[in-house]
Amino acid sequence: MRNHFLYIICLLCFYKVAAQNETLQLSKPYVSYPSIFFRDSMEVKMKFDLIGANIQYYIDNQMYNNKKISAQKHFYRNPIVLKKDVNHIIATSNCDGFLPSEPLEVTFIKAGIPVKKVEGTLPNPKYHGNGIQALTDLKGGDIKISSPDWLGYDQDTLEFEMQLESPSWVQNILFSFLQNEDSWVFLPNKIDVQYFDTEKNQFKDFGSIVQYFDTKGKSQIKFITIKTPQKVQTDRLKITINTLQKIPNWHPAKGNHAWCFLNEIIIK
Amino acid sequence: MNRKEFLKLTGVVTTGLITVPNIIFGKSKPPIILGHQNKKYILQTSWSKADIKKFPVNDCHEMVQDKSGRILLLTNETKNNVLLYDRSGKLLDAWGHEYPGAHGLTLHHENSTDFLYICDNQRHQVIKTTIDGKVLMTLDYPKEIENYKNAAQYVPTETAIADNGDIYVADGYGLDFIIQYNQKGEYIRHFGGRGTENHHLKNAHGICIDKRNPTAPVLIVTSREEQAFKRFTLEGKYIDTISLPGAWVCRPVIKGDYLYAAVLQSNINQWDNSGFITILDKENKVVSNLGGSIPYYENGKLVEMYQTIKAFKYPHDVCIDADENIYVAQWNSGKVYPYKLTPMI
Repeated sequence: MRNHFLYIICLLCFYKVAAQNETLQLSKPYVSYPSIFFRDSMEVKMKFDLIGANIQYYIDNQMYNNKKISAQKHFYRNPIVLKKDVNHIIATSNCDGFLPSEPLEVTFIKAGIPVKKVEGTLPNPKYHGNGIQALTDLKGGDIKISSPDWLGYDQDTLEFEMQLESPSWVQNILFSFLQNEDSWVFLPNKIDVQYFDTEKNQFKDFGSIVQYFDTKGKSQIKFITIKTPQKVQTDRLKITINTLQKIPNWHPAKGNHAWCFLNEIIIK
Repeated sequence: MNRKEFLKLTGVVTTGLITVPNIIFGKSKPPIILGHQNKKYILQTSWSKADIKKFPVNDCHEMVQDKSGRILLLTNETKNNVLLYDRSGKLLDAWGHEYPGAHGLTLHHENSTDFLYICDNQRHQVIKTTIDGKVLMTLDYPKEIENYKNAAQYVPTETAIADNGDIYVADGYGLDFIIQYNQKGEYIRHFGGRGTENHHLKNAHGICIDKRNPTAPVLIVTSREEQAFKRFTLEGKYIDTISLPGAWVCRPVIKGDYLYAAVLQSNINQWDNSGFITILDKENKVVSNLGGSIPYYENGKLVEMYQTIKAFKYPHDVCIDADENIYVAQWNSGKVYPYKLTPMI
């Protein structure tokens, strides 16, 4: 009996140690999709192979953690069918006894006006990806800089001319950039777009955007959209992208030329 | 009460803990149980009783158990490259200041004496020592192989020692060759190397000799970027590939009928503390993932695995002791001491 008692005391001591573990957090859900760009519609599949766990997701709200959540929370059971132009999904893994995962956030973009031809600045040979036509191939979603979806540039200025398949009404130009400042990959400093006015037979300003780099950004695929107040009819666009020539002072590589990684341009 | 009865009781109390932990332990949390099927373990993150100020660690790379039952940890912290523990986590001894790139640690019984083989990927050398650190032999870069022009190309990560004393060195961060030497350190042959064919390797990070079939021992070599182990004969002839989709596996460790391996990270979630531990049975089928997804096969193919529970950051090696406890060494994980996993019965 004494031995039994001692064993139980030892056992309780052992479990006391084991029981000191803090509550663990779950990992993000596993999500699979061929690309973040699609033509008409696409299915997004998620899973999380842990007994008792579930996946909860929001779609089309831009905020999380009780900040302006307007969309309805769903429990994932079947593939999510996407049809809208921009589809933003935020999903977490959840299970009793664990902290929920960090949110998985993915944005899916529907294809725009068909592009006949793209010409322009060639990327650095180290990051030539699938060539300049990759800018309209609707492939993307991999955040790794080694992915062939990305075209990597270290020049000061990139220039592209895009020929549409036919004259179209255009209001938005969406650019898909990589932001990975630990790897010296920054968003561009400035983007200018011009459209060809077929009636006046000349290029006119479509819009522009300037980026600032005061603080470090997160690693992500960043979409930048340039929008005109009113649609314009055109069959050609000229795009000029100024890259960041000097990495800011807060970065360990301050003063060096930043890289700019671009993988898709969508015209709507 | 014999050990079996004790372990049975352990199982009963474990169940009790999960349901009514606070009755016994006040505000303590119930134990964290990881794994699947008959390979479930209780996680203990505070196994090491060493004083971190006196015995710091950097990357904890590999662990082995010697014949007297001590657990040896290899770290690239040159204040104490090797820490020796008893199984309760009490620090018994420490040695080593000259291994800044300490990475691979293999223990070999030679005429009933324990010897260590350390791979140092900053010194570009493999060093054979006694169990208390006396240097016996050093292997420099293999000049016999014409692919190697200088020592910098040779970045060994692991060794495996055959019963006849042959030494197999995995150049896992170098040119990905497996280089075979005899017991004296004389070059015999090499195989593997980078490439796209089956016999090639991509990040040959680990190697072991699998004697689960005692009549036909084979080499199991890690091809981490391919998320696979590859089997070779002891003469270096490619046999087959054990595909482990999703798992950036480190070295294979055989204990009993099972193969254990730390998975540095999940392929789906790279460089984001997404590691776990995987366990394969005698048929080299995954039966359990500790902190990872439930393993299952579809049409004979293993479905991609990934981390589910953030129990580990970047696990780098496992050591399985005589009682089948698992010790987990972690790379780049906040300089933490190894964790211990105790099997559930």
